[in-house]
Amino acid sequence: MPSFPTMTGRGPFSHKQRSTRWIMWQAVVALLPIGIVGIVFFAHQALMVIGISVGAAWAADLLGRRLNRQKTDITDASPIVTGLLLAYMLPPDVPWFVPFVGALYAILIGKQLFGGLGNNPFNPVLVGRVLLQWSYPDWLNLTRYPMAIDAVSSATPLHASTGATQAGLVDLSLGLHGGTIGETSALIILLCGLYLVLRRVIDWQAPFLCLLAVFTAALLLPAPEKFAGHAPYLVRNPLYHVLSGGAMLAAFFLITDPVTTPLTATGQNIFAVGVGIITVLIRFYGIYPEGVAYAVLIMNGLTPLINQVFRPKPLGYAGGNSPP
Amino acid sequence: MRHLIDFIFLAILVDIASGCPSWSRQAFRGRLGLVGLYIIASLALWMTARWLLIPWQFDQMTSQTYIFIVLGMMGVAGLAGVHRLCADSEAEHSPLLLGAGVLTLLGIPLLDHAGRLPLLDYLLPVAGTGLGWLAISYVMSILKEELHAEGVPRLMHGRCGLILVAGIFYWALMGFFNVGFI
Repeated sequence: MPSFPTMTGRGPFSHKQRSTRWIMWQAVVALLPIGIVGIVFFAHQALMVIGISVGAAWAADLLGRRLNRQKTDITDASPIVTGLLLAYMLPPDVPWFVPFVGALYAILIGKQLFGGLGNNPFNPVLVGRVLLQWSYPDWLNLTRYPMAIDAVSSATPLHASTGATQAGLVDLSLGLHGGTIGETSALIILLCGLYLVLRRVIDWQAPFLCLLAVFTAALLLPAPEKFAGHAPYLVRNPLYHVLSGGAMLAAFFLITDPVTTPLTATGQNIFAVGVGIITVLIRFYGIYPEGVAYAVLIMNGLTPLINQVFRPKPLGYAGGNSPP
Repeated sequence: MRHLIDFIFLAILVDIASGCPSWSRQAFRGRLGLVGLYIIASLALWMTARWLLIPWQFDQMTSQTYIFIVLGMMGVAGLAGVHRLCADSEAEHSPLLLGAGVLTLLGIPLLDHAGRLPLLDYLLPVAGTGLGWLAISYVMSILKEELHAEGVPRLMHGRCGLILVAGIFYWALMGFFNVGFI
């Protein structure tokens, strides 16, 4: 009878003979084009935000490992992924301390305080983003139109209550509208996400179901009054909700995080649909124009519950009180 | 709605401070009993305010009346042995203390509306708050088990970790419930 090695190490675990380090570097490769497009759109300010965020995340991770008495690993790409994603969710005009503090929040509070990679119950990027939202709300609501030479501020198309301007679907796809550094161009996010799917780093089902849930919920839910006066183009326009805001970035890069999402395929699909629906609920009826960060965090909190409900049954287990 | 979330999480903090027992059928029955008591106490408060305090123009006594009603309900609960339902084999705290804290904290946000709102308008958010506490305390009890995984620092195994998790969960829910539809 063949013997199988037993692994008792810490997650995230991959069933595809691929190391966590390989997965993280693939994520970095997929995220880089989004950053390059952001730098093209928003020039040196985007570069500064990305650089500070990644550098602070990397340094904070080293510090956290030291405090946790873990082995120092400067080739671990997970803090780079965290830093990149956090920077992509920030406006380009924020002062230097915003990405710096956000990266510290994300790595030290969201990740290392729980023991580091594999132990964090909530996505560290979103912990950093949400804590920044509560710490510096005025800075976080700034968004800029791409390639505006004199740094003219412009609301995102979702920011209905503050004079948002309508962007065409082509503009939304290319990123020619107001927004954060990495969320503007839906097309480049889609291409980078497809790279991860083709490399089999992530499965296609969860991103697809998340975007489908956004589309369906935006189509079926009654439109709120706040859209009627300021942004009628957001009513019965589900594709607009899929292509604008952070839905695309979340679908490919946040809800596919192997640590904070359910273990089973069914659980992951439920997680993805939940994120899509909650995102639209917040966009429609909440006071915030975008809700994807809150949606993912809420579903992160429910992940252990989903894991319990959809726990895979052992082979041959027929039910009853105790598995064999 | 925002204030109800505030007070649900205050109750969760009381829950954590008193040990946040693991979920079991007995713990569920106990907590459901607490929610039932809370709803009955709120109903008693509404009736007292509606038929006694407001007609007699003793509005300013509502706070004290509420506290007496809560204490009275806890006394009745204690006499009726409901506190035994709250007992959990893994809990080290007094379930009566947990109940008193949770009931008091949960009752406060709706205090000003007692007797003034129609009964259904008053009781719906009351029940929502109670059931919200029940649901979130269930989720917290599962998250508590996650914190005992290998690799999580010992500091985070207990109340400290749960308070941090509750804080992040609170911020996330505030993003959702900071809304205009309720």
